[in-house]
Amino acid sequence: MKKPERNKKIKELHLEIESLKKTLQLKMEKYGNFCHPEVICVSKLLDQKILKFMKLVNNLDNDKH
Amino acid sequence: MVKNNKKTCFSKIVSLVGPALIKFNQFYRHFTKNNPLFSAHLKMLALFILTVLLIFFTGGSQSGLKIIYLLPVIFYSLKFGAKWGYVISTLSSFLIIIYHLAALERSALNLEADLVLIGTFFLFSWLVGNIITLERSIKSQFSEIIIKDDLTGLYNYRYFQQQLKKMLDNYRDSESKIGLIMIDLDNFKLYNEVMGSAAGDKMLQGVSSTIKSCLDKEDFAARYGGDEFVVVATCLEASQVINKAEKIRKGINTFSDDALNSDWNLSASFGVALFPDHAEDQQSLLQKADDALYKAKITKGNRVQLYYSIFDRLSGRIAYKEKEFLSTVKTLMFIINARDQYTYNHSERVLAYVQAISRELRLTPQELASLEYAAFLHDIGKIEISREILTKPAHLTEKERDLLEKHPLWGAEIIKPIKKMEPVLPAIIHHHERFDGKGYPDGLKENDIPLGARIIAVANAFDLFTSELPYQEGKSIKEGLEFLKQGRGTLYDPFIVDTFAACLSQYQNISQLIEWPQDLCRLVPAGYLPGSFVMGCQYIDFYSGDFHFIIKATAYLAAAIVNNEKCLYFWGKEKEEIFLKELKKYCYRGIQVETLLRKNQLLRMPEPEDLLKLIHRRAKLEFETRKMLKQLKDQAFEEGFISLRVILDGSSLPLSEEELVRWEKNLSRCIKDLEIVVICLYDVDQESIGMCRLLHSLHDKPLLNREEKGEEAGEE
Repeated sequence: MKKPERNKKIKELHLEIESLKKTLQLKMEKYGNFCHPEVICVSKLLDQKILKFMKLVNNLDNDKH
Repeated sequence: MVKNNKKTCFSKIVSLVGPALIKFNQFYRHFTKNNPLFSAHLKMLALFILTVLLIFFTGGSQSGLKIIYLLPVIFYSLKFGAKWGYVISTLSSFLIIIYHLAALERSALNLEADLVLIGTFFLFSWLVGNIITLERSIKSQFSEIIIKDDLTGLYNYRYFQQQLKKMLDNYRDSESKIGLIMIDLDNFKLYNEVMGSAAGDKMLQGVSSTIKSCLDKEDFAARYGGDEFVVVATCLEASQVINKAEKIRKGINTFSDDALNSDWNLSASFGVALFPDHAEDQQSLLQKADDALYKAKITKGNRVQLYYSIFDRLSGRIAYKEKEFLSTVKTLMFIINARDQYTYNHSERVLAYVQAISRELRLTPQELASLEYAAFLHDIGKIEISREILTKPAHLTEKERDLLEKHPLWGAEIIKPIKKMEPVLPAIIHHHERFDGKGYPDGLKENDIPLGARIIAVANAFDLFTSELPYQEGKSIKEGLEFLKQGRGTLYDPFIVDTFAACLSQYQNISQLIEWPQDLCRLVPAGYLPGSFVMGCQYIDFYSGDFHFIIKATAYLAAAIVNNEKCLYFWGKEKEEIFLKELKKYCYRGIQVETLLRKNQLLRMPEPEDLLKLIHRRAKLEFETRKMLKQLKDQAFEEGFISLRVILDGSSLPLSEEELVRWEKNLSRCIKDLEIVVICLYDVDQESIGMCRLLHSLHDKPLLNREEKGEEAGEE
C-alpha cells in the first residue's frame, strides 16, 4: 500500500474506531450489561479495528526509519 | 590540671591514631589478601632488612653473623626461584663489599672469607632455585595429568565431580543457575566396531574440540565416560543452556560432515537439567540430566532434551505425605516404561492429554486430581504381563489378548489397598470400555462408563496411535485426530473426541504439547474466551475508552475464574467499581460466573511496585520479582487454583514510553517457565503513536520467541 493511501486508511480507521466507541456506549446504555451479545460483538469489532489501526501505524512508522 | 591536660591530650592522640591504625590494618589485610605475591615479597623484604640490621649492629664487616645473609637468599630462591635468589645474593654481596670498604681495619683474611661467602650465596641461589623450578614444573605436569583426560584433553570424571560440587555450593544462594548438559554420541559403539578404535579415538578428539569451541569462559567440559561428555554452564534461564547445547549439537553434525572420511552421520543426544530448578543436589542433578538424555536417545537421538516430568508437576501440588506414595508409584511406572521402551513415557503423555481435555471440560480440582492419578496409573496392571506380549510386533493370539485385557483389573487390584485412591479406581478399570458397549472388562455403554474412563480412553488411543511402536511409525496430530473421529460414537465418546479435537487444533505437533509445556503460551493467543490453554503467557492487548476496557477486563477475568485460576488485577478505583458490578452479570455456558468465584480468587494488587522494578534490567531485580511471582503462584496452588493470572491496565502504570517497552520485555524473561499469565491492556487513545508502534511490534510476535532468537540484543 502506498503512503497516501495508508494515511487515508489510517484516518478512516480512526473515525471508525471513534464511531464504534460511541456505538458501544449506546449499546451499553441500552442493555446495561457488559456481556450482552451485541455489546461483545461491537467490542470484538472494535478490537479488530484497533489492531488494524495499530498495524498500519506501525508499518507507516517503520517506513520512516 | 596538668595531669588532666595530659590525659585529654593522650586520649586525643589515641582517638586519632587508633582508628587510623585500625584502618591501615584493614587496608593492609585487604590489600595483601588480594595481592598474595606482593604480601610474600613484603615478608621477604622484611626478613632481609632484619638480617641487614642485625649484621650492622653486631659489627658490620667484623660481624661473625654475616653467614645469616644466606637465610634471605635461600628463602627468596625457595619462594620465587633462582632469578630472585641471584638478586638477593647480589644485594647481600654488595652490602658485604660496602662494609668491607668502609671498615677501618681491612685484612686480606677478611676479604677472602667475604669472597667465599659471596660465592656461597650465588651457589645456593642457583641450586635451590633450580630445584624449586624443577619441582614446580613436575607438580604442574602431574596436576594436569590428574585432572585431564589423556585422549580428549578435557577434564576427567574426578575433576568434574569435584568442580560440580564446588559450583553447586557457590551458586546455592545465587540468582544464576547451573545448567548441566549431558552428551552422548549416537551409535558410537557401532562406529568403533566398524571403523576401528583408532578412528573412534580420532572422532572423540574431534568431538571434544568441537565442544571446547562452543564454550564460554565460565563453562567447563569433561569426559564423563567412554563416549559421554558433560558440560557445566552458568546461566540466568534455561534457554541459554539449551541454545548452547544446540550449538554443540550442530557443531558435532558439521564436524562429522567435514572431518570424517566416510559417509557416517555422526550425531549426539543431549540431556539438560538445571540447578536449582530441577534438582537441589549434585546426585539428583546428574540423575535428571541423565533422564533427559535417555528421553532424547530413545526418541531417535540427535536432539536436545530439557528435563521435564509431568510427575514433578504433580508432586509439586500434593502434600508431603502423599509424595512418598507417589514416589513408589513412579518407581512402578518406571518398571513398566523400562519393559516397553516403545511406549516410553506413555503415561506422562496420556496425563498431558487428559489435563488438556479436563481444562476444556472445566472439571473441579478434586475431579481433576483423581483423573490425573488415574491417567498416570492407568497401565499399572501391565506389570503383570510379560515383556514378550507387550512388545510383540505382530498381532496377538486370542490367549495373549485375553491376558492383556485383564490389565485394567490387575491395575485396580494393585491400587485398591490405598484408601485415598478409591475415587481413581473406576477410571482405571473402565478405560478400555467402548462407547457402543463392546469394550472390556464389563462391556459398559455410553454414559454408564465413568467420565474419567471415557477421557482416558480417548487420550490413550490417541497416544498409542501417534507414538512410534514396533509395528508402526509415529503419526501427526492431524492423523491422530482423523483416527479418533473414525471411532467417534462407537469406540469413543463423541463429546470427548470433539473437545480433544478443539483443544489439539491449537498445536502444530505433539511435542509442543508434551515436551515443552512452557511453549504452549507462544502458540495460543490469550483470547478472552474461557478455555484457552495459556499458562506461562505474557500478552499485550489494546482497548479504546473505558467501556471497551471494562468489557475486555471483565471477559479476561471471567475466563480466569472459569478456568479456576487465581487473579490479581490492577487499575483505577473508578474502573474497579464498575468492573466488579459487571462481573456479576457475566455468564458462561448458562452458569453465572459469580457462582464459580472462590474465596481469595479475585484480588486487587495493592501497587504493582515489585513488577515495575523490572524497568531496570538487572539480574537481582529479575530474580526478586520472579521469586515474588513464584510465591504468589505457589500460594495459588496451595489454595487449590490451577494457576495465577495477573491483569494490569498498562495505561495506568507510571512508566515512560521507553520504560514501558523495556518493562514488557524484561517481564517476559522474568515470568518464563513460571506458568502464570500476565496480561497488560493499553489504551490506544491515550498512548502516543510512537509507543503504539513499539507495543504493536511486541504484540505482533510472541516476546519469548523473539528473545530466544536473540533479536533484541543490544537494546539494553
